[in-house]
Amino acid sequence: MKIKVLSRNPDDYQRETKLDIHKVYRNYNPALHPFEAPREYVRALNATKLERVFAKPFLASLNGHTDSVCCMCKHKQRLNTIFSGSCDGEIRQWTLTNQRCIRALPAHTGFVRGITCAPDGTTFISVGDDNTIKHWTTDALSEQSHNPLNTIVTKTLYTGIDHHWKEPIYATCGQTVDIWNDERSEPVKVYKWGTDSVNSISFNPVETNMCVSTVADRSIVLYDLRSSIPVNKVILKLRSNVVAWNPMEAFMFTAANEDHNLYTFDIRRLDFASNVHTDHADAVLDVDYAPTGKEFVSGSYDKSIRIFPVNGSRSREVYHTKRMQRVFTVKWSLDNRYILSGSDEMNIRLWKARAAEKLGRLAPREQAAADYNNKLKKKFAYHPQIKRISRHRHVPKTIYSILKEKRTIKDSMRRKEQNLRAHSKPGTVPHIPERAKHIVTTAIKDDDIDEEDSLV
Amino acid sequence: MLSKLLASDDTDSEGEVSDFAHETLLKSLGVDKDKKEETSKQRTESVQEVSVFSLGQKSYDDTHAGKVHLHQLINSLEGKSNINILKKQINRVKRPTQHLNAPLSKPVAERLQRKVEYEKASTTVSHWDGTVQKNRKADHLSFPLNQKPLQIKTVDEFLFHKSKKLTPLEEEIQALMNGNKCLERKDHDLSVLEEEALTTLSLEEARARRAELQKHRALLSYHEAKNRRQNKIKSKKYHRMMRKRKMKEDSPKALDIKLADQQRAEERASLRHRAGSKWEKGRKLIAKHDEKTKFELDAQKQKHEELMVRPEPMGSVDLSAETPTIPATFGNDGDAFDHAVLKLPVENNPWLSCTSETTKNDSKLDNTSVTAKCDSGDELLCDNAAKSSSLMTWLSQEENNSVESMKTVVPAIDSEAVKKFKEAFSKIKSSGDGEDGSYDFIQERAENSEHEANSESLKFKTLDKGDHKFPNLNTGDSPEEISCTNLKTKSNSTGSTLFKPEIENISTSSDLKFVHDDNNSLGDEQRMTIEQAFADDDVLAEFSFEKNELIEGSKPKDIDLSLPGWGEWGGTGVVPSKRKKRKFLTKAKPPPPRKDVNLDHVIITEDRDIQIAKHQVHDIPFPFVNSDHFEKTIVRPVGSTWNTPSAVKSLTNPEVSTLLGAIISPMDSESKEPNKTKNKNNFKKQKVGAHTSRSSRKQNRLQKLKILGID
Repeated sequence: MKIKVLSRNPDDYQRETKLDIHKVYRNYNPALHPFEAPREYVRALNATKLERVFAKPFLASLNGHTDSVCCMCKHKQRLNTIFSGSCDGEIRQWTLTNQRCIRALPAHTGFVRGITCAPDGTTFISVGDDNTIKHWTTDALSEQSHNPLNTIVTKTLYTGIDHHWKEPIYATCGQTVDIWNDERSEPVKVYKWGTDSVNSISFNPVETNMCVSTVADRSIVLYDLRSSIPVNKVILKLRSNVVAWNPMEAFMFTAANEDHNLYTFDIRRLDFASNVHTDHADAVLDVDYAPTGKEFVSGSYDKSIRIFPVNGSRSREVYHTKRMQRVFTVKWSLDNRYILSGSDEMNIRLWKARAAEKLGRLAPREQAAADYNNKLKKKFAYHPQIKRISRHRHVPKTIYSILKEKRTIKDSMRRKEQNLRAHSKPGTVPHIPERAKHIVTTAIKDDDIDEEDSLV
Repeated sequence: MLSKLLASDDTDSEGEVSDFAHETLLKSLGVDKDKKEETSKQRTESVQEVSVFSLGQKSYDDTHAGKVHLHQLINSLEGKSNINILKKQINRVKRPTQHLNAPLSKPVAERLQRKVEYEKASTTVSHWDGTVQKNRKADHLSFPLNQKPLQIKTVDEFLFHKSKKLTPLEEEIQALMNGNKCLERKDHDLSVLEEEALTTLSLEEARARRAELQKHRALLSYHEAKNRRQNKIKSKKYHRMMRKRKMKEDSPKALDIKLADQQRAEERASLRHRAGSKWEKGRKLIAKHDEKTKFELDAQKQKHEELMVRPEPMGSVDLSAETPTIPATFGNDGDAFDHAVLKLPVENNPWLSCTSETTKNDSKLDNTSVTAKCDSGDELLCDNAAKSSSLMTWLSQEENNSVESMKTVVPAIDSEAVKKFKEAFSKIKSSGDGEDGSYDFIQERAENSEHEANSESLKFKTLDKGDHKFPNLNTGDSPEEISCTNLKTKSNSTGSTLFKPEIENISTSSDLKFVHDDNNSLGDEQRMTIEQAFADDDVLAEFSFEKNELIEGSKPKDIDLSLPGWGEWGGTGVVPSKRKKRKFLTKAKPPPPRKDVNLDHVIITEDRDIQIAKHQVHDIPFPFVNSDHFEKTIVRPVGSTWNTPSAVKSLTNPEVSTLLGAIISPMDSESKEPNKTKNKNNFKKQKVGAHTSRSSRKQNRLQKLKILGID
């Protein structure tokens, strides 16, 4: 008689070394693994708690400046190099791998107003309060490293600079917006709209011929290098400080405003912010997009940094330290992992973009576990306990009290408006959405165009 | 009149015009002679600045509005026939004038230009819509976008298409490889050198060479064909022969071949009785019809079975004979009972206190005696037989005897057997394996305890707890069983001769048990003690009591609204009348059937639990409209406990993944998706909504701007 026996090759389930992974034979019969949802909920809760436990975002502080850091610039070809300018006119080049300053240049007298890096990464350009534009080499070891490659003395003071993303063109802003060629000492083109001075300028990284500037008359102006005049303008209730373009979406940009908010616009519809990002307790001084275009970081006068999702109105993260003062400039590294902030107390700080993330390369199993935990957190995000734990942040008392006060004010205003609406003739008190509330007007309106049409 | 004047001019042959005639002419033309002299000034010198005012003709007569009208000139045409050209000229002059408007003021012009530019800009930007929408909706994005897949370069690519400078060695190699004539060529059969060689040969030499090559090729093909043919031959014998021949060729020693043959034969013979052999298969077919082959097959099978029996070690032979009785003694209840007993140390266990006494007595016996007995197995056998018979007789008496007599009798009979077991047990324990055993028991106990509680304690609840008649017997019995269980495990694993005495003792214990089964009263006694031992662990009853309480508590109560004394004579001890009670008692509705009505072993609570509610979602979160949809997303597990690895991987794929240390550059025009929407103002149209035919209007606007001279 022949007896048939189930047999397995030990090689299939035994491991040769202890580092090998067991091949686990599993039975996926759901009857054997009951309580899926409760068990996963517990796992999600634990993952959320652990995330808060491991949330240690601060990595390093780069100190060396002898005055407030007022501008920063990322090298466009190297991840580990940044340039920073301070209020005493000094520019420093940093290597982030060992957090060292590799050179300090006494570049300007007075503030360094702006630094920008050429797309090929060989040179960077700075403007300062001494009415000069200076070109520098990024190579710290070259003979020319301590002297500017080129110095252009200008008639007026420039307050900002940005380089074109592809061509050897850069733009400066001050009394006018000037477009320069890298090789020429006179502006190629001059844009002027109104008499107010321009605070900042930023080139579109996708549609590279467009740029946007913020003006002291509370407006944001759109330029197209192919046209001879500025294209459009939107005026907000308060002044915008800086504008950052979304590097993945050609028509979206975000403006950091004095009214503690950030406004994301679609350039095709400037009379309506596509999103209002609230959470800061004071004027927002700088904003920079993550290279993935999904998030951006903002630095504020309230001594904190916040990270916002592009499509969310509330921040997902707030970073602050006891010693960090007003944050003048923030940057998001080009590998989407780090955030840099330069602040009033002369330090540049290096942060993790995701506070609880483990740095460095993860083993495949670590990666899988992290992915699973993230998925669980997302899946159970609406559960009150998980929501509470994951949203909980400690903020300094000043910020906390200001935010509380703001909330009270906002509530009372809303209540007042509701009452007004309830007690007046229907239709007389229109409901203005938050996204349109802060915008005064635009230069070219949709209605304007329609009127024209009706005339023809 | 004009003609008259002209005629008069003609008549004056000298060319002198009379004053009168001249004046009349001037009058008729409306020219004032004096004024003309005043106003008409001729420039005689060329000067740099020419006054605009000094040029041009002033009217002859201010009162006449200063213009020469057409009808005044028409008289001069009298008598002329060909005036068509003049007519045309006049018509041209008469046509309504077309003149350019004044240019727009700068701000207005700029505003219009701005509009055009803005439209252009939004159009160019709208080409990105498709890409942006796609990326926004993507479940997973891996940055940097447009990563090129890793490719391994071929050697050629690596060596020859290097842009960098080559090292001297590399250069040398390259020169060697590139310029070498021996290298094979892709498009030619022969290399350069070979071709050259061929061309340099004389005709005869070449022919000879070709012939040689042909021959060689033919030989090769013959050989190939032969091999193929040989391979196709099915005869085993042939192949065997060939193999032998080959072996002979390889090693010409005849002895070796013989030896190899013998070895092979032996090997084959050893496999003779294998079940399912080829021979057997062949025989099976014939066996149906032929008795003889059937007999042969049976013999073969028998032989196979014989061979298959594994030679057992000496000690285990007895065990195999005994073991079948063991399961009979360890019934459902017995098993649990033993384990329960084992868990407690003997000293602490009150109902083993008597046995502990006996064991203390036993301990006087030294181990040497046991080992001695180990050696002389026959003696023990006899002893056991005697003991078992004595036990039998004792048990038959037991029914009639009183408790006192039992107490005296039992130790006397049982002592020896108990001693042996105790010692064996202690020995096993000391050998270290006992720990594992006890661990197992503890585990099993946990499993069995409930069951035991169910069956035993409930069954014998009715028995009087006070009446423990034979504590000694029971206690005497239990250690035996313990050792039995231990032995069972040990002997299976080791099968050594060391456990021989214990094994023999098992037989006695089994006998004992057998008697137990026969004798009801004794079994009852044992169960009584079990019940005693687990008097506190009446889990099932407790549970059912708890459940009943809960059910009673959750039932809606009747509401009695009757007021004693109302409408009746009052006073102490007033009892409301039956009628009143009936009238004012609102009976509670029967509660909905509980979910656990038919489930004895569970309590299902349907009330809201505040502790759990803290963790539950109260409102349907934003993107969901239906609570069912939301619940479904929660219920569907994503972990590896419930899903296959590939499913887990796809389920937990992060939304954004980045490459470590790679620069993520902004969106490039390469990654631009073709825009699906034809209308470039799609975005605006969505938001604006009701506006119609935007593009046509825009065209109009552009036209208008063109007219205005702004491009």
